[in-house]
Amino acid sequence: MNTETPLLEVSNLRKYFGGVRAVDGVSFRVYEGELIFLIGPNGAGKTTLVNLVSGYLKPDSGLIAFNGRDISRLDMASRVKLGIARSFQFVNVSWSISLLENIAIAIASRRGINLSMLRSLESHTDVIEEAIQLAKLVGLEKNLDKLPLEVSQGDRKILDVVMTLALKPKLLLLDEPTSGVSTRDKFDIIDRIVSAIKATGISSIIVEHDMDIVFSYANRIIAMHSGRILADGPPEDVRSREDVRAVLLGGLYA
Amino acid sequence: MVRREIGNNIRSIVIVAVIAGLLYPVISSIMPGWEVMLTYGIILAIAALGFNLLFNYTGLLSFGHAAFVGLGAYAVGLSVKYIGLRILEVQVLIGVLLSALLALIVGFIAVRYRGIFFAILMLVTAQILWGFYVKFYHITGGTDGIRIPRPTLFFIYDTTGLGYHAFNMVYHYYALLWFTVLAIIMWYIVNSPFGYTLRVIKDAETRAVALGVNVNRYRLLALVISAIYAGIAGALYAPINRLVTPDLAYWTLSGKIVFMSILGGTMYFLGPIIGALTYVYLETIAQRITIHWYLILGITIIAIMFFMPRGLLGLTELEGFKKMARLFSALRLQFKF
Amino acid sequence: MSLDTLARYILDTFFFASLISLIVSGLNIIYGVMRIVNLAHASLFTLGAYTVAWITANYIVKIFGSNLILLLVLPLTIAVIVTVLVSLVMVTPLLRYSYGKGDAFQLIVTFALLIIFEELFQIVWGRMPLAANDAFFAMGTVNLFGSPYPLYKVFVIIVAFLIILALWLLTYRTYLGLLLRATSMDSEMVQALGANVIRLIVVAIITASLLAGLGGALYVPTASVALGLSLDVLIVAFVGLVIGGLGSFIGSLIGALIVSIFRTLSIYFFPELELVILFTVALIVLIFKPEGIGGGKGW
Ligand SMILES: Nc1ncnc2c1ncn2[C@@H]1O[C@H](COP(=O)(O)OP(=O)(O)OP(=O)(O)O)[C@@H](O)[C@H]1O
Ligand SMILES: [Mg+2]
Repeated sequence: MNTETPLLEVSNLRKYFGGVRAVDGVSFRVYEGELIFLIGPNGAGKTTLVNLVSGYLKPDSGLIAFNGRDISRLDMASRVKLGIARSFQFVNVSWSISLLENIAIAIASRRGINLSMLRSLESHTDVIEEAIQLAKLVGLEKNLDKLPLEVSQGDRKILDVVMTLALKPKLLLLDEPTSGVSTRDKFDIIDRIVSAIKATGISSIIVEHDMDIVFSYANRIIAMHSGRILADGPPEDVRSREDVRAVLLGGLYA
Repeated sequence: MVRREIGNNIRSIVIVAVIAGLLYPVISSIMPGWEVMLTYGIILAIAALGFNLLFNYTGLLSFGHAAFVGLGAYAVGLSVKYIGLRILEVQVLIGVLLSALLALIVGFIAVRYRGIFFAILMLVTAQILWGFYVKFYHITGGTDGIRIPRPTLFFIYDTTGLGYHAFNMVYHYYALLWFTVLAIIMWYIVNSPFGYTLRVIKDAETRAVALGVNVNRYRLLALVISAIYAGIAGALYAPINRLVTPDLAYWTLSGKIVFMSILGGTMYFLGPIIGALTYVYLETIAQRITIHWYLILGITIIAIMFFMPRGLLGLTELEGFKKMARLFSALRLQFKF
Repeated sequence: MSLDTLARYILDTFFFASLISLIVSGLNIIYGVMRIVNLAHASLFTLGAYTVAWITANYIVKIFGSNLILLLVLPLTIAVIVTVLVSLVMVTPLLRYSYGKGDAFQLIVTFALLIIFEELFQIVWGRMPLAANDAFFAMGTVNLFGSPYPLYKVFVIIVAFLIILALWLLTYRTYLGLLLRATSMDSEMVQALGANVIRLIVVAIITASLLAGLGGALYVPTASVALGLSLDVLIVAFVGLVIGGLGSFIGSLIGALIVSIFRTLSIYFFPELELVILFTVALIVLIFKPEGIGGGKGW
């Protein structure tokens, strides 16, 4: 067992929507530099968990500690400042500005210059330069001048992730970075994302449905079902669990 | 659209200003009486620019911008009536402060809402002020309004002695100066990190929140800036109109500001400017043909929304226009102008 | 406050609430099936009012004298028919083609329609207010703790109550109502069930227009109708919607009642400040109960 303070410690987290127990007593810890895959069938509560940790939703009960400090009452903006950033299951970017400008705004936000009004974004060359570097890290440099609707769904998903990376978080929460992309392109995308994460060393939780991907990249898996954690551990352990197989793997990895 | 939209640069603003400057003597010599519309046009363009900062860039539709126009105009009217103030820059400043204050008070709650709630809250704000101007006639002169004497410009230049045409001409260039400066400032605002943050808020509010942006504070700031523009337009409107009446705060004026902006094309930076300049002439012509101008106005708004949602500037994206533009730049290369 | 003033105040509140609930529930029906807040809905109220005022003064009284039943029923029927016909020609197609186009689009289009109606009223009926209070006077008064109260207002309260009751039965006790409610939650599902959503939309708009026209028709014997009425009505209805919550049938009725309490109070005591008071009420509700009383959770 690890003895250092965990980066993130979630204990007994609960969130109900009316009768739906979306997250129902979830506890886990995340340590510096971990890359965790969060799996579970549709409606398992993965997105809700991401929403709770990122501050988009307030829990009914339970604690969320970040670097040992309780953050469960903080709003989203303050959690971003502390270093928790999240992407979205459905591409959530500005459709009227280019990829480059989307990334640049994320960087500007981190640098606290969003309120700068009397200089064009273009003339903030340091921000633009950083945006280009970041785009190169995930191989997005080709279409930077295009609008999000003019590039492939894969590039849009990458853009969503890059905007999150631009915040230079300590903890990265990626909600299905490969959803809506053809199976053929999924590996390419997750490859680019994972190598960018490894290059920066950020602790990450990635929600993913594709088990091929999960078992090729994960060194830790958290499996959820009906708002609860079924299994949490290295891929081999999770794979060998009967209940996980029944709910999730459908015998595929038997 | 940002990158490829026509005329989204300072050069285009200057070109429009220069044309508006050159056109004035031309119109007044060939069609006397029609030149003053140009002055009204550039003043209304300031209000429309403010409106569009809110509408196109922030995603908030206001049906009450007449509130701020009226406030600016009455700042001039009341300050001259009660303290004899005639230095226009100081009066504009009063209008700016009042507009900003009103925007802060109403906006504090209104910016938490979008769509109908924001639109109607602004509308009610304007109607309240309109009601005040009409009902408290012992202060505001009621529907008769307040006469505006000739202002003093730049603190020292008293325009009282000028003849009718001379004053109109001087005032045109004075207003044009305001317009140019304000349009350039607006261009910077729209293209600054702040302006782009507003776009993210408009298109993907949750993303903006996820970036750590305090969405309501940005919306409030956009509303205040927008109100200031409308307030300045109102203040500048008073001396050329020579009269300030409650009409300047009435809901139909708010409708006109919406109309101008969509006429020019709200997706374009220049849209509200082109829209306002076109509008004043359209209105003048229409009013000569019919007294039921609002009927035409309403029908035109609907027609534009359905059939020309990008407005007049949207026409520049048609193939024919693009061909002409290419021809023009070829000629320019050929003859080096 | 003496007993008769209090009773008068309460009845006036209910009278006003009756009119507002006719408008608000119409707005809500359209919002329910189309997710459009039709700003021009208030114009249909005004149209109903103008029609009654005009035909009563010009025809009904001249032809039929002061026969109470005819004074009441004939103008009302004609006004409702006119309103529904005008709505079919001018409002329905616009709303139908604005369906799904985003709220900015819909707001601008219906706002433009509001402007058009305002100008049309001026063209047809001029700038002068019209009044037709023959029915109001013909009905006489009742004794209310020693002072007379117009029977006509009581009549309106009863009519509106019956209409709202019928509307409630329609939405909650009939198949059509079921379809309407289902459309407000998931129009694709309704389509999948084989119902024609466009037809439902048209039914909803007609029902709403009928209610608005009826509201205006009932209103006019008590006051004159003039340009600008639409906007006043729109604002009061909007405050009612804010209080009640958009999309909630019961909520909107409660909203109509609450807004009427404040409006009648302000008319009694601070007529100059009517709009300010309503605005303040709306802001307070928006601060403390942003989703409104009904919470906007379906009908
Ligand atoms: N805002 C909400 N209101 C009501 N119910 C909700 C809400 N958000 C989620 N739920 C419900 O909570 C449960 C968990 O949803 P969640 O989106 O977290 O699942 P998920 O694991 O992300 O599923 P998916 O793989 O489909 O993305 C579901 O039953 C869902 O319907
Ligand atoms: Mg999910």
